[in-house]
Amino acid sequence: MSEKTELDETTTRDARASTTPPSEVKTSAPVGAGDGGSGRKEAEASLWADAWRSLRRNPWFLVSGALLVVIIAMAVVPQLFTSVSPHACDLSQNRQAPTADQWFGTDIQGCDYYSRVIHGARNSMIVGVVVSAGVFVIAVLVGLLAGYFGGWIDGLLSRTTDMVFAIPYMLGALVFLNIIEDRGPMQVALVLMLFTWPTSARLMRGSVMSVVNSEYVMAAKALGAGHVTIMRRHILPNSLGPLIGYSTVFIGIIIGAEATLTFLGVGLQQPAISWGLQLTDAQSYVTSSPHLLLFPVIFVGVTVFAFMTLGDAVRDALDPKSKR
Amino acid sequence: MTRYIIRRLLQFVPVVIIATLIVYALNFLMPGDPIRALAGDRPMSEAAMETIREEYNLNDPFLVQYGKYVWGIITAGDFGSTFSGRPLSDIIAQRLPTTLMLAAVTFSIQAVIGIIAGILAGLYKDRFIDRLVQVTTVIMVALPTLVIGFLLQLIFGLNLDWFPIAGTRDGLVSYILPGIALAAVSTGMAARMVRGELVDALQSDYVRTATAKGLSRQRVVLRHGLRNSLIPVVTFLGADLATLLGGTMVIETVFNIPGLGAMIVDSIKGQEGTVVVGIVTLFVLFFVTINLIVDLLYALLDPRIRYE
Repeated sequence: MSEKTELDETTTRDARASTTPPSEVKTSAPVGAGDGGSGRKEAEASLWADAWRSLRRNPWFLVSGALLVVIIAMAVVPQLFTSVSPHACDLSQNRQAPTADQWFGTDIQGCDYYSRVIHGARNSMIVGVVVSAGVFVIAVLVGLLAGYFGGWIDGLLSRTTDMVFAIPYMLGALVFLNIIEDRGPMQVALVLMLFTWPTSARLMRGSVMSVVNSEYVMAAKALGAGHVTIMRRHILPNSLGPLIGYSTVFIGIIIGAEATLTFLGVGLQQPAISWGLQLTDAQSYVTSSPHLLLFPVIFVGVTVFAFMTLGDAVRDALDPKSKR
Repeated sequence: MTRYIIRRLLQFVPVVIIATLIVYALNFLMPGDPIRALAGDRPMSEAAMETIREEYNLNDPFLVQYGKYVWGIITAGDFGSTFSGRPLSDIIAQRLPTTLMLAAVTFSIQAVIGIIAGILAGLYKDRFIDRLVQVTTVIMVALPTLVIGFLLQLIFGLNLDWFPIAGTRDGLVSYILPGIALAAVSTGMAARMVRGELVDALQSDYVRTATAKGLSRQRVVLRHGLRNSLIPVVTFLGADLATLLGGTMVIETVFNIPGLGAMIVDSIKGQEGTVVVGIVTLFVLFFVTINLIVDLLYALLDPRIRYE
């Protein structure tokens, strides 16, 4: 799967970037001082304030942010966008081309396609957010434990990570989902989580390892702080940056993966309303009713694009090395 | 270096065993009784079902089944057979060329377009061509393969009617759209990577020295700048060859190409467990092997990397 390459590339890119700790900024000199913000308060020079300042100037961030607001609204309150029920269908009016009245035409059941496509946002979003949140938690746990303690704990966790990483996640998910008979968003999300966590865990382990030997951690140790305190107070805040950016990109990757798996017949099932299912139906009528294909394709594309671009912008903003 | 190679080879074995075991185990859990499904509506005698189960080792304990299966692959290249009795190695031999052809087209697009676009953007940094490449690659990288495939099909297949939208009857031409769709994400990434590396290289001391020596711009760029910039890209494209296989499932289904990827999807729908396990195992082996080769190649190509 090509999305997988994005996963791989992220690890290498961040592995290279992680030679400098992502946010020593917080404990050492304010980094924002150099770029002309001389009159600003100390608090504003924190990593996050600094990131926010550079984000506001990034056109990609503004565009993808605006798109996301619309898409999230669509997933939460689809009624804002359409008053037509996605279940109000008239079989005699099936596969009609778009008109002024029905902007996206009708589907093979004669339902209003605009309403169907709008209502499709919710399932995609649930899968994307649930998987990304779950993988975030797994990655933080695995990365912290492996990177902080090292030794046999690292050995065990890293070898486990390697094993799962060896299975291309689309293949793994395809085979695993196939043995589940009733598949809702939660089942699909769990299976995707099972096969996609290694990239994030590796990323987190790398950034933990890049701060674990820094002076402030040693100082905390010397002062007698416990493992939990060191991890919570010193390591976590300074190593979370890359993972946060990546988790946003990851929502996009997962939404693409879910649509793909559903399209291949192992994701969500009828009667769920989902872009992947719409693509499956549309494929049989691609020559006679191309609009059935076009609209879900655009919606999946825009959603994935928005998440991935936003995540990239956040990741760049949180990486002090990328600043010029 | 030798120690690194040995350690990497030793890691390879358990990874292969466990990965294939997981795939095999997952399939073991597939719902329904495939033998009954094979019999269809007509009832089959208990004895006949027993014979078939025996033939496919379905009565052995799980690990024994797995062992026999792996032994068969290693000793005889025997990936098992379909329930209709056709050896899977036959199907693989028949469909592999199609998938390899698709992979070759995809790989050529990635390497040629990706590298050229990256070089142009790097050489003319902050000029129009650079901006164009940057915007295009952001879009290419951020769209799922599925979406790119369908968009190409709609625009260049249906609307403009330049390329066939399904099948492989037209030879090389029918691989172009699927190849572009499959290549898009990695082409974008390769281009960005080449650009970044080249920009760094052109600002480095050794390039400045070469220019100061009075070498021609062409020689400086080709011999000094590019040479170092291409190392990470070579390994990236190599590693990508492995992940490309997963993408064939999607693209072969979208464009109705009769390759191995489409075969996996079809046999999952038809609950043909042996076919799924066989081809997925083949893919996983390929994936793990290529990753191993790329890791070793990387260590070899880049002397800055030292493995303890």
